Amino acid sequence: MDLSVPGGQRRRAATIGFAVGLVLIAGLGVNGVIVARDATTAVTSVERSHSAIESLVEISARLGEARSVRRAYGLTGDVSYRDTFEEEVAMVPKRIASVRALTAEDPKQQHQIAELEPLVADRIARMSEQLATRDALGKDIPLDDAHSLANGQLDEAIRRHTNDLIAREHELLDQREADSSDRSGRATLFFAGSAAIAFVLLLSAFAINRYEIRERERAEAKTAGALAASIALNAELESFSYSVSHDLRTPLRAIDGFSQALLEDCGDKLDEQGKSHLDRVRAGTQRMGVLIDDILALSRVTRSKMELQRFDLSALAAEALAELRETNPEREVEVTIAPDLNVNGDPRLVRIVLDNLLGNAFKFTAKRTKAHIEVGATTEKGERALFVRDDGVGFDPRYAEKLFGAFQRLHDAKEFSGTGIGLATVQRIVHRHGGRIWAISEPDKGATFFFTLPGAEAREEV
Amino acid sequence: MSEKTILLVEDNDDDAELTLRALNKHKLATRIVRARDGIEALELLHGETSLRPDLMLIDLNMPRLDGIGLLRKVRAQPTTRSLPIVILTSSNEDRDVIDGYRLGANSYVRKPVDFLTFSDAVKALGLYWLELNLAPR
Repeated sequence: MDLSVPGGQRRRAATIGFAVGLVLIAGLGVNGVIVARDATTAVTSVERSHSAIESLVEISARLGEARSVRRAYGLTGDVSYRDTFEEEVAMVPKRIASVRALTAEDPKQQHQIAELEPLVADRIARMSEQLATRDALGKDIPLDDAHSLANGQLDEAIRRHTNDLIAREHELLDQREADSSDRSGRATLFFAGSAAIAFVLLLSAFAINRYEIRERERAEAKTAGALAASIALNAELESFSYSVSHDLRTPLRAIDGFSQALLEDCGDKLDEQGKSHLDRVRAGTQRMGVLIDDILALSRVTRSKMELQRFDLSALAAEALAELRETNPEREVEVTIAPDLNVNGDPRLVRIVLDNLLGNAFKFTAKRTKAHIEVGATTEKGERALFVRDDGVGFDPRYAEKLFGAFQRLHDAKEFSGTGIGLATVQRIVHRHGGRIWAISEPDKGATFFFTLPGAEAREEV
Repeated sequence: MSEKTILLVEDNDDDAELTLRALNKHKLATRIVRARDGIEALELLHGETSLRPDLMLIDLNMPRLDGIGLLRKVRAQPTTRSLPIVILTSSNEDRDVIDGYRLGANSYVRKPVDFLTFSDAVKALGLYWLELNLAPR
């Protein structure tokens, strides 16, 4: 077997090999039972031949003994001879019956037994008659010539039949012995062969198994190496973003803090233009701080491990909304959240999606005295899509594609604050869930953001 | 307001000065002692001065002995075990917050870029830890 084939083929080959091995072993088992039974049958028929011959010899012997004791009784009148006679003749029909049973398979012998039986019965009847006469007269009388001749002919016929039967049985016995020895030989050969095949199969299985284990170990080692490299890379990214978070923000804090200190301590020495310049320094610094935070959030969203579960998006949206209301107490916004929007996903990440989409909805409806926001679900191309809809300023649909790029802004930063990273983060989260995100809008007619969370088919995007 | 001492452990001079400025602005303490790292802080707490501050503000990233190491040592000593400690840092990485609370920090303030926001946060935590929630001495 060529073992240097691809994994799929090798697995298929292993399955087929295993099936062939199983069929082979099952076949050997069934065949083994048949062979063993045949060999046993052959041995049994040899034993039956021996029994038949013994019974035939016994019939002759008992008839001979019956004749002798009949004569002795005739001469002496000793009752013990009579008893022995009865015992001997009683056994004869039983032996004939057993010979008949033992030779049931051979029609020729059955025919001979059928001829032998009345001869024997006749001979026994004649002897019984002689005994009855002896009992009636109190003495034995010699048989006349005719009777004597008839008895002699009967004895001769019985001996001939018995000898024929014995000769026939010997002939059969020779055949059966030869057959039995053949079968035993075949059985021995068969079992030896089976053992050899089983041995080869086991050896192959062992060799293939060892090869597979070695291959797997090699593959595992390779995977472990890749995993270690990936962990190391992740740790490096982790420490990089930690440094960015810590080290970039520290000087910004100094710029902002001391600008403020300058305003507080030396404000009276600065004219309005000087104060305005300082305000701009502070505004730029704070904007840079927010940018750093947003980039870190985006990077964290990409790196963090997904923990999928089924949860109620309606409840999560309500939480996000409550926080927005807290930070925007002056706004009058009517929000409708469809109940029981159960989804599969990482609730922590989906919360970031909702924070951003609802935050945008709040932001871009700021010019409405009374704004409306809706969170719900709909079916788009046979797929359930969740949406966040507002009646704010909307956007030009020509730029819909640009919405989700990092640092892309469709509105003037002076008009609506923001870093342009929020929707990029949202898109990355939706993609990590294996979902899609898109938006429809017209200027001044509000915007609707749709996203899907297939959840179960979530794939990792590195 | 009674005598209040704050021990500020911060290696960065700019950050230290801005924190002092925020503390002074809200008149949160009568006395503020600054240490430049964990080792200096431990010398102040366990050395000849035997400083017993009412509140410790500690930075996380410091040379020699960092904030997490200092926190562990302070919580291990019976004499300083129950000091209120607030972690004051640039980082908002989950692992720092988790480590800080696990080792017994009482509160956590992330130093924002915006000084005025930071100043408000310092005021709030000062009021809480120095006026409302005194630890048993």
